[in-house]
Amino acid sequence: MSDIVVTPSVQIDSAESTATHCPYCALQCGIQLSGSREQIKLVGNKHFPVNKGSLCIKGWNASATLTHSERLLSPLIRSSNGELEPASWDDALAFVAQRFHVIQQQHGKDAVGMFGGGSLTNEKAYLLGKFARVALETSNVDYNGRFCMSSAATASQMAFGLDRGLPFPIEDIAYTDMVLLVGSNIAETMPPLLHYFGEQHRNGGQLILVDPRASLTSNQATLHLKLTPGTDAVLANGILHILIRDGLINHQYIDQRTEDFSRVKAVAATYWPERVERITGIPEALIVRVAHMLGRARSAMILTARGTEQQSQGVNNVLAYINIALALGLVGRPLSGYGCITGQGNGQGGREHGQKADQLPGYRKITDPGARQHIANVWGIPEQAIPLAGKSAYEMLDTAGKDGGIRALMVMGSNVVVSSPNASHIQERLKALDLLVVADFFLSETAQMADVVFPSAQWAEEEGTMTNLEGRVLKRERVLEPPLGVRTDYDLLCSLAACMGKGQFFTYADTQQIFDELRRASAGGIADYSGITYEKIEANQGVFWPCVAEDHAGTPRLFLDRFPTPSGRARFHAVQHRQPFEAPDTAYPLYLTTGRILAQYQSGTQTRRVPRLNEVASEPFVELHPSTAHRFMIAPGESVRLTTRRGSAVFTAKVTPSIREDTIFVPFHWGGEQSINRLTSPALDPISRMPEFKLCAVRIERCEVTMEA
Amino acid sequence: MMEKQRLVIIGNGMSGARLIEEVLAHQGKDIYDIVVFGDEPYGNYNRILLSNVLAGEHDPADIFINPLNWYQEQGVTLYAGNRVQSIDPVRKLVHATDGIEVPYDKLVIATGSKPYIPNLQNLYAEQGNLKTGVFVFRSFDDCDAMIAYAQRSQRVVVIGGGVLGLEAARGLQNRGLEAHVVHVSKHLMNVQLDMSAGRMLRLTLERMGVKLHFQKRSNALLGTECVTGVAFEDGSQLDCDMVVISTGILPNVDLAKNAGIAVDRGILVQDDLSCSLPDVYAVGECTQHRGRTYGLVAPLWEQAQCLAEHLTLQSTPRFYQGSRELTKLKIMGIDLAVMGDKEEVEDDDEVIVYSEPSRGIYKKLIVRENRLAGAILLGDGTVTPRVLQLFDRHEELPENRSELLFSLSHEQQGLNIADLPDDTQICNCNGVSKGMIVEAVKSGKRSLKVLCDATRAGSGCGTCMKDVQAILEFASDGAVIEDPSVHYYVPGVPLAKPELIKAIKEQHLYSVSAVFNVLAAGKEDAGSKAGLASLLKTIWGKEYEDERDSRFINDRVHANIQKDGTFSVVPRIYGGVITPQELLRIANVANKYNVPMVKLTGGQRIDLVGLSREQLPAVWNDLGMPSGHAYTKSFRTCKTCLGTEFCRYGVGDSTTLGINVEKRYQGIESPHKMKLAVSGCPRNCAESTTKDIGVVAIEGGKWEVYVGGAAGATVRKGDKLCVVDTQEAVLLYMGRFIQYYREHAKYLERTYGFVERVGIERLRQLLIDDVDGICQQLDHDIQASVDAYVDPWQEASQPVTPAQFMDVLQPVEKITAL
Amino acid sequence: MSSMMTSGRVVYNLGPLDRLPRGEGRTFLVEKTMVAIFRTRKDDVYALQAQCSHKGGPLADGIIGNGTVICPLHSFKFCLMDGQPVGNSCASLKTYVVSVDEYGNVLLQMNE
Repeated sequence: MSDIVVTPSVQIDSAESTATHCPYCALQCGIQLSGSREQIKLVGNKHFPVNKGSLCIKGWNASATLTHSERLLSPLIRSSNGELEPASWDDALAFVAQRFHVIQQQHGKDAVGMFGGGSLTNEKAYLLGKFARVALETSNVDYNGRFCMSSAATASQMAFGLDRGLPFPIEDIAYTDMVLLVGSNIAETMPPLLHYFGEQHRNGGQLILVDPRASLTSNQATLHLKLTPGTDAVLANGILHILIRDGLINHQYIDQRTEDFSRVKAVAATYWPERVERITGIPEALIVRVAHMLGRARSAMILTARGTEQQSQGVNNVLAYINIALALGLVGRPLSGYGCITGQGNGQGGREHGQKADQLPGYRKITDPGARQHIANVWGIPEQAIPLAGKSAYEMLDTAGKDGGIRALMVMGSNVVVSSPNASHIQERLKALDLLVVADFFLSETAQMADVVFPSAQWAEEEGTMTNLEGRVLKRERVLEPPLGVRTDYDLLCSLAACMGKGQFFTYADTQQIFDELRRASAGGIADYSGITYEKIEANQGVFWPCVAEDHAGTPRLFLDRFPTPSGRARFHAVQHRQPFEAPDTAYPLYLTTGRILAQYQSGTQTRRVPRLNEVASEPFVELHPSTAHRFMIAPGESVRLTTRRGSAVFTAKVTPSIREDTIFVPFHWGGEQSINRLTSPALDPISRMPEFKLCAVRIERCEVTMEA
Repeated sequence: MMEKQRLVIIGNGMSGARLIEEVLAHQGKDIYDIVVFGDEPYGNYNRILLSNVLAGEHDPADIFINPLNWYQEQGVTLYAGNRVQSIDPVRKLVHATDGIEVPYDKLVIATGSKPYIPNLQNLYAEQGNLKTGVFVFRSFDDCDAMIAYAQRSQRVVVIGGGVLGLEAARGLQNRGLEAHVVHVSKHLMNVQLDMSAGRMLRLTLERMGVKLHFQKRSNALLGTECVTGVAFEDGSQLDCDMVVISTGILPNVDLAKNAGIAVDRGILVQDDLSCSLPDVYAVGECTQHRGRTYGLVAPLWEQAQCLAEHLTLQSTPRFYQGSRELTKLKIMGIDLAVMGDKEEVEDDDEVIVYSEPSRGIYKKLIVRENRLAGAILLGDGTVTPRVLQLFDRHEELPENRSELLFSLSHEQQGLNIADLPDDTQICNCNGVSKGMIVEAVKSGKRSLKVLCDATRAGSGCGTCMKDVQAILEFASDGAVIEDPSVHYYVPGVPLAKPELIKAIKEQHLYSVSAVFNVLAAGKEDAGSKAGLASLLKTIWGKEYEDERDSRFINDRVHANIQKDGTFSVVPRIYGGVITPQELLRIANVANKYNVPMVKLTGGQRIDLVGLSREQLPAVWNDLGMPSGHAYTKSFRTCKTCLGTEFCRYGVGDSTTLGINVEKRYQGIESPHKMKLAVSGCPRNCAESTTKDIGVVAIEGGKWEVYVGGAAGATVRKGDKLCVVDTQEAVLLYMGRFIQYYREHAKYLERTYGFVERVGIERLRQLLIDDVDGICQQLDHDIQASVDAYVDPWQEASQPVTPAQFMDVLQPVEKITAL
Repeated sequence: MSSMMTSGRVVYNLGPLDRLPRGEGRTFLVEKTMVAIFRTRKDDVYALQAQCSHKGGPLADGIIGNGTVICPLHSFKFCLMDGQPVGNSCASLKTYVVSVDEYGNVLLQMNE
C-alpha cells in the first residue's frame, strides 16, 4: 500500500464550483474553480479521467497569474519619447490598422506577419489563421509550435497519414507491457502523467527511458539508456537490426498493413550492434536487451518527446522509432502503438486549425485545391484569395526588416524573444521591424520591444476548446470576467478586422459561433471536428477527434483497421544517421542540451511571475558531470560562462553524476541575459523546420578565467 | 546544368557500395552517371555479418544492404559478376569480362582484399582450386559452401587464430563440429592482444569447448579427394574432415599495378583518396594511406565519405586523416573490444591493468599524454562505450582512471527518512519538505490520504508516496491508520478480521502457510506472518499448527532482542512476590553469566539484559523459573500492591488475586501486549486505572474491573467494565474481555484503542449482559487457551528448530574452485 | 605500472540444507565474513550480508516472505534476491551466490 496513489479531495460543492482546465501543459488536467477572483479556490477535478484530481505545483498555483500586479490593464502605444504609454482600445486598434494598411501598401501584403502560439484555444488558433488570410491577406502566418511539436507531427503524417499526439487514451499506458520513452522527462514536465506509469509498473509493466540525462523520470525506469546526443536514429536502427536478426518482427502485420519495409530492412543491416554501440555510447548487451524486451512484450508503446524531436534530424529520429513500432506490428493493436508526448497546452489543437504557414483548418494542406475551395466557401471568399504557403516560424522571423521580408509582425500568445532558437539574433531582427504588435497578459520580453501592446484576457476569463495530447477536445470555461480594460483575443482580432474594413467576415455573437464555423471548416479534413459540440464535450468529459457527425462518439483509438493514407497502409521510411549540425570539437568540446524543469513553463512569462514557483526554481543553472567539472576546474555553485558560436551567457554550476560526461544541460525558461536560447543552434530540420534546440557544441569556463582573458 | 560525367566504380563490396550511397546522399546524381562493377552476382551485403550467418545467428537473407533492384531504383548501372580485367588510363576506360568496355571521367578502385593463403603441400586439387573440404572464409559463397559442407563433417581445423579464424571455429562448433584452431604464435589474436589477454581469451574459448593448438606451423594437408587432416612442421598431425584457412588478407592491387598506378602493399592514396594517376581514386581494403592498410569497415566508410565529398565538389570536403581502429570479436558469450596500441610504446606511457581471471575479465588502458592510446577490454562490455568514445574523440581522460574501468551506478544512495534533515524536499511536484509533512502528522493527519490532502504531497506524479508513507510511519510512532486496506487484519491477506476468522474456521486452516495458500493465492507476506500466527493460536488453541518461521525472533528464542543482537531475560514473578531462594538464583545467574545489566522493571520483575542467544537455555535452567513473556504480544504481567496481608489500608487481597490472575493468563497471545494490575484499595497503588485491565478493591469486599487504560505513549484512564463481589468473578470477566479483545481487535491494536473503538457501553452489553449470547463461547475459548499454555522455556532442553539457540554457524568445508 | 590483481573464487560447503529450518535464516561466520543464509518454505536458498545497512540489525533473525526479509530491529524490508531495499532508502545489501548441490549440501561462493 506504500505506493497507492492518493488524490487530494478538498471538498468543493460542485454547485458553486466550475469544472475547467489547467492553463499549462498538454495534459490539460481537470480543475475546479470557485470563489471570487481574490479568494479564488482551485483544486484538482477528481472526476476528470486524465488527472483524476492530481495536479503539479504549476497547476496548484495557476490562479496566481489572475490577480498578478504586473497584469496589463490597458493597451500601450510607444510614444515619441520611446516609452510604452497607456492608450484607449479605439486609438490602439485604429493605429495598428492604419500602420498595417500603410506597410502593406508600400511592401505588399506579405509584409505583415502573424505569429501565434500552441497555448491558444482552438477557436483562437482558427481565428488567427483566418485573420491572417482574410483580413491581412498575408501568407506569413506561423506559430511557436514549430519550436515544439513539428518533427513528430511531420513524421506521423508521413508514416500514418495523420498526426494526433497519442493514438490511444492515456489510460492505456497503465495496461501495456512495455513502454519505450524517448527524450522525455515527464516526471518534471507532466507529473500527473506519471501516475499511469506507476500503475503500469504495478501491473507488471516496464519502462525503458532514452535520455542523455538521468532525471526524476529515469528513477522510475527499469532501464535507462544514456545515449550520445544526436544519435537516436542509430539507436533505433540498431534495435531494429536485432529485432530482425533474432526473428522478433511481425511479418504478417508488415505484409498486411505496411509498405516499403524492404528498404528499411536493408538499411538496418548496416546498423550492427558493434557500430551502434560505438556511435550511441550504449553497451551492445544493453541494446540487445532492450530489443528483446520490446520484441517479446505482448503489448508495447513507443513514445517520443522533444529530446529526440528538437534536432536537425528530428523527423528522421521519430521515423526511425516509428519503424520499430511498425516492424513489431504495434500501431493499431490493443494497448500498443507510437505516440508523441505533446508539450504545449493546445499544442495539438494549435497545429490543426490553420495558424501554420502551410496549412488550413482541419489539418488540411494549403496546397490542396479541394481543401482551399472548401475553406474558401466556409469563409465566403474566392479560392484564389487564399494566400499560398508562407515561411515557417524561424524563417519568417529571420526575414524581419529585410527586403522582401516582413516589416510588421503581430504576436499572440508567444514570447519569441525567449523561446526561439538563436534568440539574440531574433531579437535583433525584431528591432528592425517597422511595427511590432504583441497581445499578452504580461509585459513579456517580447512585449517590451513592441510598438503596440494589447492586454489579453487570461485562461479563466474566456471560454474556448483545447485539444490535449490524446486528441481529446476539452472545454475551458469563462469563470471570471476579464478585468476592466482587458479584452479577449477573439475580441481583439474581430475588432481589428473591423477597423481594416473586413468586419463582415468576423461577426460572431459568442465563442460558440466561432467553434461552429471551425467545425464546418474542419469537416471532411483529417482533424474532423464537425461532430463535436460544446454540449457533447461537457457531457462526455471531452471528445476524441476525428468526430464526423453529431451522433458519432468520436475516436479514442486510431488505426484499428486502416491508416488514412492513399493505400490504407502505414509507410516505413528508411533513415540514415546524419551528423548533427554541430559536433563537439577542440574549440567547443562539449554537447549543450536544453530542457524544462518542474516549476517553470515554456518561456516563463506566466510561471516566473508566480512566487511559489520562483521559491522552488528562481534562476537557471547548468548541469554538468563531476569529472567534467574537474576537467574544466569548476566547483559546484560557481558561476561559469557558456560560449557557443552564437554567443555566451553565465550560469551557476550544478554538479551531478546524473548527466553524461560529454554533455551539459541548461533549462530554457528564462529571458534576457539568462536565456540559453541565445546560444542554441539555428539549424533546422530539412522537413519539419524544427530548430536544433537539443544539441550544439559549447565551451564552458569559470568566469574569472574569462575576465583575465 | 553541366554535362553529366561518368563515374566508374570497380568493386561493389562494403566500400564500393558505400561510396555510391554517399555520392547519392550528396546529390551526386546531378553530376554523374554511375557505373559499378562487382565480382559477385549479387547486390551488396554486409560482410561483417557473415560470422553471425555461419554461426546460424543471422538469416543470410537479412544481411543484404543493396539488393539488385536498388541499383535500378537509384539509376545506377551495376555489372554484377563482371570482373574488370584492365584499366586503360590513357583512353580512360575499363575492360571487363564479356568484352564490356566502359569509359570513365572519374574512376574509383574499390577492389578490396583477398585471403592470404600460405603455401601448403597438397593444398589444391588437379583443377587448381582448393581441395574438397578446404575453405577460405571471405565471401557470401564461401560462407554458403562452408555451411553446406559442415553438415557432413565432424571435425574442422581452422588454420589461424585471428579474429576471423576464431569466429569461424566457434560458428562451425555451433553447427555441431568439433572445432580445432591451430595458431603459429604463442597466443590468440596476437596482432590485437597482449600475452595476458590472449591467455585469458584462451581459457574462455577452451571453456566453450574450442580446441586450441599453439606454435604450430602447418606445412601440408592430408587426403586425396577430400582433406583428411593437417600436418605440421613439428611432425605432428591432426585428423579432420574440414579445413578453414584464415591467415590474414592481402589488398587486391594487381589491377591498379598493371595500369601503372603506384602501389606498395596497397594502392597508394593521398588524403583526398586520389591515386598516382589523374581522375583515379581508391577506397577500402585495397588502399594504403600514410603507410597503413585497413581491414575493418569503419575506416572504409570514413574513406568513402571523404571521397564522396570530393567527387561531389562539396564546398569544404573532408580530407581523410586515417582512422582509429576498433576490433570486436563477434562470438556470442565473449565480450572483447580492442582499440589502438596493445602495449606501451613510449617510455612514459601509463598502463592501467585490471585482471580477474576467475570471471574472465581483463581490462587494460594505455595512456599517452593523458589521452587514450589503446585499450583492451575483455569480459565486461559495460565500460566499452565510454572508453571507446574517449579513444575516438581523443579526449582528455578523467584524473581518476578507475572511473573508466568500472561502470559506477550513478543512482544517488538516498538516506533513511528518519535521518533526513527537515528541509529535504520529498514531493518534487509540489515542493513539499519532510518538515512540512512531519508537522501535518503531528497535527493529527495520520492517514496517508488525509496527510496528502493536507500537504499536497504525492498529488502530482505520485512517486513520492512511498516516502510520505515512511515519514508518516516514523513521525507517528506506529500509530498510523493505513489505507486503503485499513480494514485488512494483516496487509498480506485481503480480509477484514471477522471474514478472516470465518474463512480460517470454515476451511480449517491451522497454519500460517495454509492461510497464505488458501486465502492469499500462495503469496506469503513477511509482514503478515506474526499477526496471523497470533490469530491462529487464538482461534485454534492446542490444534494450532505452529510454524516457527512466522514468529518474530523474540518468539523464536523466547527473549527480547536488543539493538546489539543480544537478548534480555525476564523470569515470571507471580504478582511481584518472590522468595529469597529465587532472588539468590537470579543473583547467581547474573554472576555466572556476567550479565551486563540487571534491571528492575516497571512490572515488578527483574530483567537480565545483554545475554547471547547461546546462553539462553542454560540461563533458564539455572533460573528454574518460568518465562515472564516480556518479549511477546501477549499477557505480560499483573502488578499488585501489598493488599490486605500487611497494608493498613488494604480492603482486598490484591496479591493473592494478582498471583491467580498471572497464573491463569500467563503467556496468552493477543493482538498486542496486555499489562494488568490489581490494587487492594481505592488508593490504587498498583495504578490499576491506567492498565489494559485493572482491578481495584473497594469497600464491602467488592472489586472494580477497569479496561482500556494506558500510561505509555498514550495516556488513558480505563473504563469501568463492572463491579463484582468475588475474585472468581474478576477472573471470569477478565477472561471474557481478553478473549473478546483477542478475537476482535486489529493486529497491534492496544486495548485503549480497542475499547474506545467499540465503546464501553457496547462492551458491557456484550460481556456482562450477554446481549449476543456469546459469553459462554468466550469463556470456553479462553479456558481452552489457558489449558493449552506451556512454558516456552522448557524448549531449553530440546530445541525445536536446528541451531535454535546458536549465534553463528560455521561452514563444514572449504572448496577452492578452479 | 599500476596493477590490481585479485585471486580466485572460493566455495564453502555450509553443510546439509537441514541445518536451516524451513522459512528461517541463520548467520554463518565464513572465514572473517558474517553471512545470513535463508531457506524459504519452497527450499530456495539466499545469502545476504549478515547485518542490515541501516543499523546493523541481525537479518538472519528477520521474518521472510515473498522474496523479502524484514529486519528485526526497525522493520526495514530488503529483497532476498538482489539485496535491494524495499519501500525504504537504505543502501542495498551485499548478496552472495549460494546453491544446493545434488547431495543436498548448501554451497556458498565467495571471492577471497
